[in-house]
Amino acid sequence: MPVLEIKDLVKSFGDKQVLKGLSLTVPEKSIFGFIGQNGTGKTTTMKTVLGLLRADSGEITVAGEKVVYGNTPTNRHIGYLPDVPEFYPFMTAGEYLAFCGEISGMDRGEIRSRSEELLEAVGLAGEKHRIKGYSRGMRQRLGIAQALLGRPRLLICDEPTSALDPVGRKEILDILVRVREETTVLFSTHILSDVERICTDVAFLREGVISLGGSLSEIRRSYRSDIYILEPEGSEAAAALKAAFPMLTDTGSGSFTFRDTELSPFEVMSFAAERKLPLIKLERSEPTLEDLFMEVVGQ
Amino acid sequence: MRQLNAFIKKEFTEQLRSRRLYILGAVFLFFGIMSPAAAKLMPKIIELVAEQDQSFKIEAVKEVSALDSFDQFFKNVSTSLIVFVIMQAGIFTREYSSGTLLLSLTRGMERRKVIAAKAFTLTAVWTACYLVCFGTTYAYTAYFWDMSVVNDLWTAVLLWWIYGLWYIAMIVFFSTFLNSATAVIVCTGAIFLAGDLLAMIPKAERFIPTYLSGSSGLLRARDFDYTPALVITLVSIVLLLSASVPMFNKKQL
Ligand SMILES: Nc1ncnc2c1ncn2[C@@H]1O[C@H](COP(=O)(O)OP(=O)(O)OP(=O)(O)O)[C@@H](O)[C@H]1O
Ligand SMILES: [Mg+2]
Repeated sequence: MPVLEIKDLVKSFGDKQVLKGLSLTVPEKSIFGFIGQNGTGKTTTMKTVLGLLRADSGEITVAGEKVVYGNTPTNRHIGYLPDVPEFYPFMTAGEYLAFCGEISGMDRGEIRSRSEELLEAVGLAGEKHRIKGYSRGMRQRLGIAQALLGRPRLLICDEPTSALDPVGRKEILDILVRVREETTVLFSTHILSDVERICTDVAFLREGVISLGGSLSEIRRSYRSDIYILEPEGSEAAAALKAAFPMLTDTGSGSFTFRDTELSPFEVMSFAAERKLPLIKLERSEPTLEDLFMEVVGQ
Repeated sequence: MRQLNAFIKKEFTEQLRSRRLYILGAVFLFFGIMSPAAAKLMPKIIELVAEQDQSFKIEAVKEVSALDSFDQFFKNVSTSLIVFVIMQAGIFTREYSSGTLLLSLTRGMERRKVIAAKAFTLTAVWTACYLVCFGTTYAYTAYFWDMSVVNDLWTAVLLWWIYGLWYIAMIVFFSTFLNSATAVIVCTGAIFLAGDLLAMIPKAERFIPTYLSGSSGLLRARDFDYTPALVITLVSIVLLLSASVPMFNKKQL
């Protein structure tokens, strides 16, 4: 059973339809990258999953249970890190986790041991200062700790890395990878390299629907219009190749690129072998998520 | 019950660590001291002015009594109440704009318990501050003057305390649908002004909660029938608080 399933979700603000029948399935124990540009409706989707916004239509289930608007019982399965996490500034991290544990009805001893464990895991153990003075990275890390407190089956993080520098981003991504063993992670972002680094599954949100989604390796396979890099030796060979294959794109540094949808690499190899054209390399480069994304967007 | 306790504890921690409680305590203490002090010093001040300025003619410097001290108290406590309302009006709205409440709610915090915890905290802080203010005035007054001239002090004090609760109920109610402390203050102030305007109609005056703020009339055993205003105030407190729950449940955060 998938941890989260969204079917035909529609949501408008006034006469502006933000989600136009979004469907999405988050499999158990995945790290799910929810990708979309600013203002496409990532936060809206997440808030609807949490029962904080009322959907116009569509159905959402968390661990098989239906989400209802308002105080939805499905939230007991979910840990949530909002896009701009703000915690009571007058508390310390430990006090805040204790408060969270109390209101979610956790056992006292469990609160203590779990808080210590999580503060350790996010690198805030022994932090005696009040949250007021925390940096953004510290706040994000505390945010992840509070979200994981009740051992949720699903961790929802809204752009956990957007406001951070590369070091801070890496810290957060590392934490997300580590928690994967015990929970499923759904996180939104517009930073594709973050997704490539850690995700097993992705969904691109575009114009209110998922324009591309599924497991990352499958997507890579099905969108295999790999890019090849061809580097001939000497300008003669280069000129001969360019004359024979006008679809080669000159990179300006003595090499060409081409897509295997336009030109077969075998054809290039046999052409070069026949004419005895010297080649330095012919290399396949994995398409980056960005290439895939551009391809989807370009359609 | 644990949810409620944890939230109340959090509210008190906030009152303490944001220094709101100390500032209010200092303000109420200051006015508690000022009331008897002003009563004590008033004749001296008048004398001084009269000495310097011959045209300033006093008919007869009246004897100062405990009544003057308490008159000052009831005047000053309304200023203190204004400070209280201004400082506490953001108790809900602060949490809306920062999003802190949202996180608690997604954890299953019940909204009606949020209301209960905040209303309780406001009541406790108001009561404590009011006691500090009155206690100080009372101690000085009892020390300096003869208290036997004071009629029915305790009812007057109690009525004014209830009058303060009415403002707390308004803060809570307005906060369930407004998003800024300023808006809460403006609406509370507007209700006060509306009450004052209505009170200009002689027949209506006795029925309006603001009538309770004149409870010091009891000290002089004046004809002060506070029952209608008291009943209406209590009823409106109950109505405001119970209307707050469905209003707050509807609020989108
Ligand atoms: N409460 C609201 N009232 C009106 N419009 C809203 C509201 N919330 C969101 N929107 C609109 O819905 C659209 C989607 O917003 P949303 O915050 O979900 O986007 P997002 O994908 O999270 O963007 P970002 O990357 O900037 O966080 C935006 O165009 C926004 O203007
Ligand atoms: Mg967003």
